[in-house]
Amino acid sequence: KLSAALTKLNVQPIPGVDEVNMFKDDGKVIHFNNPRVSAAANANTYAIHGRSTEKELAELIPGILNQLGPDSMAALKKLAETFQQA
Amino acid sequence: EQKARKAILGLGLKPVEGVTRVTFTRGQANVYAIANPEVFMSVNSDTHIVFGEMQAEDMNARAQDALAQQMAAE
Repeated sequence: KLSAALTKLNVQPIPGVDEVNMFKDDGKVIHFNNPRVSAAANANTYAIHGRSTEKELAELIPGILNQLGPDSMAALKKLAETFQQA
Repeated sequence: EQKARKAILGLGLKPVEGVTRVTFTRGQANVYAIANPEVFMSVNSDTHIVFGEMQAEDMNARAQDALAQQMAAE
């Protein structure tokens, strides 16, 4: 049903997406490995099909560093502090 | 986008709270990011829907930036 609605919106598949990460404000990351992604760019709508896993930011370092936005810096700093304490 | 939103939200999706950023990685060098997205997940299939504006990012600049900031933090 969902895919029918998406088809109606003219979504196009986007090939070659290796991973999708959703950063949350509590420092967790919803991680998708090799998802199927389709998009209706004119509607700013993206659909991600695939198994997701919730991970701590720390588990995805260092590969994820370059995907972080400025707003993730606070989380990263917290992480660095916990490393120092350990 | 309004139309898309309406069509999709009518299907009983569950909102995912607290997502600040969604990134898509293609290959080594291409990262596309959506800042401040609205994320919904389908209850009965492995599908997430994201609304928001996507921007391509320069991965190398970002990597150097992140690395520098991490050094500074340590």
